[in-house]
Amino acid sequence: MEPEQVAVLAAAAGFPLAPDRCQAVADEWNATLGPHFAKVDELDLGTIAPAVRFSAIRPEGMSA
Amino acid sequence: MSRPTLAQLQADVAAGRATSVQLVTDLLERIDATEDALNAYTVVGRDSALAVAAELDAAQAAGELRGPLHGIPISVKDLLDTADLPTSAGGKPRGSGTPETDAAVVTRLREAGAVIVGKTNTHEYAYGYTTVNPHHGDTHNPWDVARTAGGSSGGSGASVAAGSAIAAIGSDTGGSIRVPASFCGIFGIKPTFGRVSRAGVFPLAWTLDHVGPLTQSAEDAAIMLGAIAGPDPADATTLGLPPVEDYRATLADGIEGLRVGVPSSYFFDDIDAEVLASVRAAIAELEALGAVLVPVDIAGLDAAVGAWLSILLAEATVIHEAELRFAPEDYGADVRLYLEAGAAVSAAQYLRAQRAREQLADAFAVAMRDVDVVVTPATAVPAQPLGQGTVTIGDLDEALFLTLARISAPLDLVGLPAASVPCGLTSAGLPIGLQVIGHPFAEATVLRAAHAYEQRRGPFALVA
Repeated sequence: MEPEQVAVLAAAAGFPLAPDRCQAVADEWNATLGPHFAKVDELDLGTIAPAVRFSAIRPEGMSA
Repeated sequence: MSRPTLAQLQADVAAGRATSVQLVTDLLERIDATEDALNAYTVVGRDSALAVAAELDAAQAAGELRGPLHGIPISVKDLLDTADLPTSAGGKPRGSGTPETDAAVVTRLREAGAVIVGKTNTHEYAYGYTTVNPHHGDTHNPWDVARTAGGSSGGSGASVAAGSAIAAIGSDTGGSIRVPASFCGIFGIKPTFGRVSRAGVFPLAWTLDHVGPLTQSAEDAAIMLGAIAGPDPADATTLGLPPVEDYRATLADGIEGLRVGVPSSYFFDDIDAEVLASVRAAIAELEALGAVLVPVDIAGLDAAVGAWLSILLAEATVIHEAELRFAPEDYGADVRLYLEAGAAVSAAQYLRAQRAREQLADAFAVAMRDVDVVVTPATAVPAQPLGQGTVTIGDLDEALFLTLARISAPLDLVGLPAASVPCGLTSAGLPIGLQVIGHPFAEATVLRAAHAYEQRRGPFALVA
């Protein structure tokens, strides 16, 4: 993640960040967060949909 | 040294051997004796606690016992609203800070007869594992005051361990009950998602937040959980679920034949050597008690922290969006950085994480089909020095928050009940925790397994 990408994403989310803050976020993203996000990107999630309301209970007959 | 448990005090009060005013007075003295070293509380309600205690003693004299916590002083994390004490959520205090109403859990505690004695310190907005707090000061671990008590419910953990709380309420979004329980040598349980209402609790991340007790024992936790669990119209996640069990009724049934899953990887990878040895020894004790050990393999765990982080960052940032826009300097450096990082999590990334969460919940269900509980270390390392942001385990250098998250956060992600029970001390005299994970809404089984282990282990060492 480059600081410029952070600036674009944050601004799009309604949080314009100063350049030094974009740099700080990019540094943390690259050092600690990004490698973990990448592992999610590598998953084969098939047709799984995000739950509208998460529940710990799994449906009957689940075979995943 | 020994210290009466909540269960013992409950029996003493019910039998007239102790009064609530005595218990509250003794506890206030203990708080006075320990707070300079620990800073476990953000506020103590001396006058209000003594007034309520006197009222409860009068009620008992008239033959009325309000409930299972009649006259017992209880402490709650400063994330829960209390109508008689200010709530800061660990953030910069604003105005009087005293809400108009109690959180649902506080209401239930009061209905059960509890005396709310004070609010315990937390990492700022519960967003961290160390309870290093720029607004209220850092909480220290009673086993070694140079070390963190864990977090974010660090004040709850430290106070119960030091005897400046009989029992306390905490919250857990990525391990914030179990980490302080492990670091402070006490019991803590994160119930199933939806089992306990979050109404009136300042949120960290709506779909990950849980509320639960930190106590001296599994039996104490059974009493506390029985008092606070159940449906609440103010928190829709608590509705339409299986009924609340009598957690104490089956506590002493033993674990003969209980099938205990032991993960073959992930939860036992990159663990401090002394922690690993102690947890392995505890698992052997479970087997000696008649449990059947079963290897289990839970697929997809490597992506759990990434999914948890995406959801946590995005939800927390939205919760704080107004203050983050207009007063970012009001936040401590670590919390501000993560709130700003949450602004860079895209909608696609968030939804992918929610899909990964469903996949992982399915994987846990499949892996646990043939077992009653799963056991793991509660934390990969014992309590670390305050201010230390990284740890070294073998060849691995890792940010402390990731070291803690990789063991505890997957259970917040999938919503399963999980407890930390003390199982040993390191050579430096620091507590080690065993994590016991159950099926959805099977808190009674988790508590039964933990109680059986505690009975075999014997009383855990207490800090003076």
